[in-house]
Amino acid sequence: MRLLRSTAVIAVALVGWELVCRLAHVSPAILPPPTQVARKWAEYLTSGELPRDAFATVARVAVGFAIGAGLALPLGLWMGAMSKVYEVFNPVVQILRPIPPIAFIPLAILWFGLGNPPAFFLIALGAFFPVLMNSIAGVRNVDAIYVRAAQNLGASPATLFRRVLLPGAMPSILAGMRVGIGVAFICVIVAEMIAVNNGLGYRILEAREYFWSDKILAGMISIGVIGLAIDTGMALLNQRLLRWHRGLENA
Amino acid sequence: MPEPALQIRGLGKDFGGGVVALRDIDLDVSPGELVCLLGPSGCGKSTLLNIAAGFVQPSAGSVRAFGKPVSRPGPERAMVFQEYALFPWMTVLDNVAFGLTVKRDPEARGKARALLAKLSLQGFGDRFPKDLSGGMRQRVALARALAVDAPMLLMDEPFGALDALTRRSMQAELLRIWDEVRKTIVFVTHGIDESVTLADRVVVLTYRPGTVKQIVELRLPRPRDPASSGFAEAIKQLTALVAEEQLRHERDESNVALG
Repeated sequence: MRLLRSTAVIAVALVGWELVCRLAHVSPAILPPPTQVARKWAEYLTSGELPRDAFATVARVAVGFAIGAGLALPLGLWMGAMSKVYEVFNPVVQILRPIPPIAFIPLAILWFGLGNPPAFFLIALGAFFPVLMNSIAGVRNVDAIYVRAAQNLGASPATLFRRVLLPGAMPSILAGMRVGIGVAFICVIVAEMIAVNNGLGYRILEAREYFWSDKILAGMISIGVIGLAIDTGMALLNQRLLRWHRGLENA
Repeated sequence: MPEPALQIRGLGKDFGGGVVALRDIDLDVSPGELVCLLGPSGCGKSTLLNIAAGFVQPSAGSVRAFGKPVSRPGPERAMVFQEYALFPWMTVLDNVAFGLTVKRDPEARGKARALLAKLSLQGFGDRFPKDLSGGMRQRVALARALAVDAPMLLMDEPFGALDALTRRSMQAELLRIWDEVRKTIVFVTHGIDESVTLADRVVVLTYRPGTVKQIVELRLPRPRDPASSGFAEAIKQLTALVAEEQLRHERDESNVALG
């Protein structure tokens, strides 16, 4: 029953889409029917092109995210733990944060040319701020009573950081990473449309040149599925790492 | 006369904005003594405890613990918080062992396990605090404070959030442990019953600014029988003292309410 409920809308939409295309004789270059998209998707998959594109995209997200989060996490922890550091960096963070990563495209190309480097730059930038802001907030919001309890039991500043501030901030840090990887995934598609000649983003833009709407849609659906898989993976990871935290809010 | 475990002289705390929490507090607590600080909310009893713990700096006066001036938190004065303050990301065992692992005690886990057994918490070492009831959490908090073997325990309304029956059994538990290890205990409470059940001496504080109104010495034998005449007498005496301060507290609140 649950399966039926959760798939009903999708099924109805697919049937409706198919009917509209066939009955209204919509040009397949504008909107191909789902059966045609499915055929194209299977072809795209079995030819090996889709796996190669998907791998290129996911690898770019992984590298870009690792750079962005790898820089944001230590800076965020540092800013969160030390209010003087926070005061130094916060103004520049506040100025840069509202600029969408997409707006960095011209500079990214001027600085890094074409190819992977500007893509990594944009993806890293997309992941950077969500991870940074959540790391700062996570550390700052650790309840002062835990800090007191740890100091009372003789914890040194290093121990306090490692065993109290860091684990206390972990729920917020992981939430930031989940958002960050989502933004990184948006950025990779944009970057591939502009700077490189493989990957899912590149492929759907290439397909437009030939009016292969079925391939565009097949690519978009692949992007959706991979995005969902990444987010689900992050959610599962959160749940595993935060066994102590689950249901804590209503304890 | 042995050196007092805790020596407070001329202690004052002014939070600014016209709020004087404490004024001219003088108090000596002997080693092994169990002293309750009693008063209505707003009398500064928790502030006094936080100063003794080294979390809050006084505006005037001095605090010495075992002869040494107190300026920051230290494991010779272990605190038990009303909100338990257990680290939610650590298992019960890791919480109890925390103070020992900080000291790099190689037997930290073994000692922590022994303490869990002592506080009837065996089998709960691998649980997280969120899985425990309030009473059990406070047992863990007590075990964590006992683990560092501090000569002094500072307890800030530790049983205030518990239901009446659990509170009574925790009081008995505390007395049993105290009997065994004879630590100096400074225990903040607003429960008159609780103070008469536990204390060697009850320090009654005045409402804002907090000063020592009176120190009542209880010479009742332990375990104390709430039905005994001595117990009733002590309750009566303390109730009268606290009621005066409670009245000042309420008058103050209604003045605020009336603007």
